[in-house]
Amino acid sequence: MVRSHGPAGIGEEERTRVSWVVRAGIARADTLINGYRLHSGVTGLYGFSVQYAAGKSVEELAQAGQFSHAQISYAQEQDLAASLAHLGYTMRLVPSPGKGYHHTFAVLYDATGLMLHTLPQDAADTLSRTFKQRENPHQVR
Amino acid sequence: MKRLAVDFNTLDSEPIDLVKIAEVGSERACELPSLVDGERVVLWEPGLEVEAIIVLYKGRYWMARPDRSTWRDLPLSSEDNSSLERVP
Repeated sequence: MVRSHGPAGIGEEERTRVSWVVRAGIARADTLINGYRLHSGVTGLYGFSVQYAAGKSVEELAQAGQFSHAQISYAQEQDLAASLAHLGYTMRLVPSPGKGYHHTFAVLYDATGLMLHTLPQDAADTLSRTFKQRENPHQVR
Repeated sequence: MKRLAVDFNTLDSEPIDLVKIAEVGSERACELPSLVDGERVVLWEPGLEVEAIIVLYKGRYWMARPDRSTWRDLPLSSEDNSSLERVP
């Protein structure tokens, strides 16, 4: 199992094996709930916006997003999936039209595979706790 | 000006550089104050706010175009601030 010590200072071999998910700002539960919606350009796709690309570092993803925020939130894909699994949910990172490495982070009921149209409070809480926060190294105004 | 809580990450989804607010007629839209195409509002989320112009996109989705000269950092709550990692 790949172990990471954080986004800064990890080795190249490890960096390419860790999949990071990055969002602008503080990933609070209420913000995740507010951002979870139908993608206006993809029929039937619900979720919130993230920057994601396997093998890209947190810094690369933050730069691609061109965020105006002073902070970013980041987490490993496997940690987000594990936090949801405890509650009976699963997740999908779906490439969707947008800037940089834009993906839609969709949450599904594990038992039925049904994509949720709104983000439940318990899922938002656990995702919020899993994301870590740091200063945005590539703030754009 | 009306103040609307948003997720600025929606700026990155198509159509890029428009903040997505709510589908017309949706439950979320019903919880909003009444909006008018072209109206100036303030959009905010924890830590950040901006003035923006409301856009009724394709007649079916309330969005807003930020005035990029008006981005302002907002003070974080002590809880949010304490969660920030300090990267050297």
